[in-house]
Amino acid sequence: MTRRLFIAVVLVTAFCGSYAADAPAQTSREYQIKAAFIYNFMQFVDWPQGTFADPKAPIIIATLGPDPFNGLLDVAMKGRTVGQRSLVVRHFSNAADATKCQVLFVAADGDDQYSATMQKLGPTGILTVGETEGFIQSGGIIRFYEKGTRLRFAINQNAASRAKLQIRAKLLRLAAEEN
Amino acid sequence: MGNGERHVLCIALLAMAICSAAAAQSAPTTQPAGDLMNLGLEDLMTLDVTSVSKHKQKIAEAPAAVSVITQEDIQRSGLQSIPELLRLAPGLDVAQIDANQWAIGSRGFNDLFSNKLLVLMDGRTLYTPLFSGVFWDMQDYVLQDLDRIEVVRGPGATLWGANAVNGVINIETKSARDTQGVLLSGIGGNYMDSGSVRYGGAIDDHTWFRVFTKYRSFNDDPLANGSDAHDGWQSLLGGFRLDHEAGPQDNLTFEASGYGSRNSELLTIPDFVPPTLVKTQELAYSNDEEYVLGRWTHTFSDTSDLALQLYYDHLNTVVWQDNPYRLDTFDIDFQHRFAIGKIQEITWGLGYRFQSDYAGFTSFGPGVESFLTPARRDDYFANQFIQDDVSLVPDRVHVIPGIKLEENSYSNFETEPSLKVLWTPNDSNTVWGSIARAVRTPSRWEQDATLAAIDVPTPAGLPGLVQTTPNPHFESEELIAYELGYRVRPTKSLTVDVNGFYNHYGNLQGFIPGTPTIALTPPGHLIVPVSIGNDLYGHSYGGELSANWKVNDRWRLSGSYSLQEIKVFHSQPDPLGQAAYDQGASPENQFQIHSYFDVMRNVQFNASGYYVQRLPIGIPSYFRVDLNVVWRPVDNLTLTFAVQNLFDNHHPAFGGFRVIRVPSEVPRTFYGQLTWSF
Repeated sequence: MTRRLFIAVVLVTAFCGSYAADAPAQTSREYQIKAAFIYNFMQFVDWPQGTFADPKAPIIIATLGPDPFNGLLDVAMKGRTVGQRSLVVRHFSNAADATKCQVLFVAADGDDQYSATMQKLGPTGILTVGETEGFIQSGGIIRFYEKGTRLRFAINQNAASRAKLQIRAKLLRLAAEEN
Repeated sequence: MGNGERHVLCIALLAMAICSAAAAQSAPTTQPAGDLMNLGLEDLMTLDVTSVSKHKQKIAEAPAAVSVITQEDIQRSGLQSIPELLRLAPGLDVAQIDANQWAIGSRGFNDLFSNKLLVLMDGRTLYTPLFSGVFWDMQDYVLQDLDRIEVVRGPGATLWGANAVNGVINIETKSARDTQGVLLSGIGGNYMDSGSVRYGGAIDDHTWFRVFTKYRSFNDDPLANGSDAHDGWQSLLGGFRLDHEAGPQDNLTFEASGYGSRNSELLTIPDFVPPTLVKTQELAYSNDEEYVLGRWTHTFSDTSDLALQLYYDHLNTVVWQDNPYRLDTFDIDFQHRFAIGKIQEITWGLGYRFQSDYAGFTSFGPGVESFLTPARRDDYFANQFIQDDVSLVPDRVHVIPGIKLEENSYSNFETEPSLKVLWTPNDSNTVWGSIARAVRTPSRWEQDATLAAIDVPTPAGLPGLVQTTPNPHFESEELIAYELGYRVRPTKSLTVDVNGFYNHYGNLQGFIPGTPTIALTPPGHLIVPVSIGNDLYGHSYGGELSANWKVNDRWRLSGSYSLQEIKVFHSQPDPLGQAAYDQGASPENQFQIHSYFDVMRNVQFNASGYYVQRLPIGIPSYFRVDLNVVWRPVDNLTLTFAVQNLFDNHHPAFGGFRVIRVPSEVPRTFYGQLTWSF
């Protein structure tokens, strides 16, 4: 009797499991956390004068190459603000377009185009965020890396000053703490 | 339904579960990152990128008395074996019996054969069905490659299963990805020498491995009178771990390891020759254990993932006096987590374990003609659990009901429900409460073993020999536990965790006396038969308080205090005093304090003190002080000098009637360690 009950409950749970799983998005947890980091980074960066047309002009966040966020960035930033500025997400496949933003995320897969992009960007007030090993060396500003199972970030201050970005002390300290 | 059919059924169910979970993947919808976006940088930095299984929950949000021993704690404590490292967890009783035996319990009921604790290493259970406990000496690893040891005090039965009555210990090793390169480590000391070699490499961009080996040699500990306890031992471990990231959402892990050791012991064996009535005999024996394990985890989203794990384990040792014992374990586990709507998160799982053991009989004590009957036994344990995490108020109030159903060949059907409530009024305060039922299923010896090695005085003036009669109808021990906890972070540098518990136990194992008979074989003695029964019951209460204070960038202090008060009653005469032993083998009060100080950028000074109150079974209280200095002359070279038990030549830590092996004392030890990695 108890065995039949046991088996019946197994079957019921198995079916519930297969039909009730309603929200399995395709974005991995890693990129969900990275999106939240990017949102935080913007709070601690001051762009050079003249970057924005007016005090309420939106900040444009762009990805270059295949979108590892699977559209999550668009959803996550929607309705959020940094100061008075709203946030707009764009996706660029061509490195030449990559100057039309204030935050540029370079995915590991898009990195081939990157060195070319880097030279074009110049000191134009773009916060570049990447995740490959050579990102900092090739002039990127913030790079994600994993320490154990957790995400950390490193900041290239020289690159930030070349891009005329002011990065506030707290962000620098959190980056430095782990090095 | 026969045994074979049952196995087939279980495997079919697992296959179905995997298919259903995999099918869930094929219906993608876009889901917002939600709450993650509201977290600050400091909080984001504490999140695990791979939040997969039931035990990866953020500690600050767990509705249980949980503490984590991190790799930093492991290194700074100076402790050099897995059982010794468990000293760092509040609420655990860790008592070394002799050089190679430990009694480790949680919230009381400590014993060499502690049976109310579930211990896992990388998801593999270390529980031996023979006595529902752990062979602690056989649990070893290259300590630098351990990631963390999670300790849950209190019942974890709903998620973790039978035996998780008073606690769960979960030892996790690092991913091979995090152990790249060569590590060489050597230890030389007055009681221990050890050497470890690990090499970690990458096969491609997504596949990493490590191979390792470790040798340990322990000298004889002293007896109370200072002479050798003849309990020295040597062990050799070799192993392999491979981690493959098949994509951003899939991880595969494969592990294989083999362990062998040569131990020796002093045994007391009744011979009825006055004045001691026992003789002491040295026993030398070998142990070995091998396992292979594979695990696949898949992450669908922040709120949905699954894990499938299989392993096979073979154990070969001797038990009780010198009876050979072999055990084969095959285990398959599946779990799946998914969200229903915005407020419910379901975790459910299935597990099936098959165990086959064999015990020989060579006992050299008098009065027994057999050890385990039958000598060979096949057992299975099937379980399923489901837990629903309902966020009544998003991010603030969670109500978490759960239930585990288990079927096994020892006690048939078990139900282990729990209800947990979690309230986080803000980011720095957490209040939780829990009511749970847990069972400790019968172990093999209770149902099948005849033991006779304990001598007792009898009123007749004759020496007496206690002979236990097995009880095939022995039932599970039961616990209803009530817990309440509070966790607070008053400042960024201070965390305080306090919790209390009340446990109500029923059906506890005791010994019921039978009618004594006189054995005429000289020397004459009384045989006192006792049968094993569920005749004890009781309750306990207590709590743990722990705090962690980062005084400044260079100095960290942590400490904890544990209180436990146990009352055990017997409903039948209790000739061996089992109830008194259950009450008296665990300390009522314990505290510990640790100071981790960076003297210079590359020099650490670490100090720990542990106070353990007297045990009523006859062990005086002690205060143990451990110190170590760590120097890193260059980045990849570490030199450590450590002293343990500084103020004491040697002290006893455990003893008792069920310890037939002669307990030795814990000596003062020194060692130097050199670690080189490149």
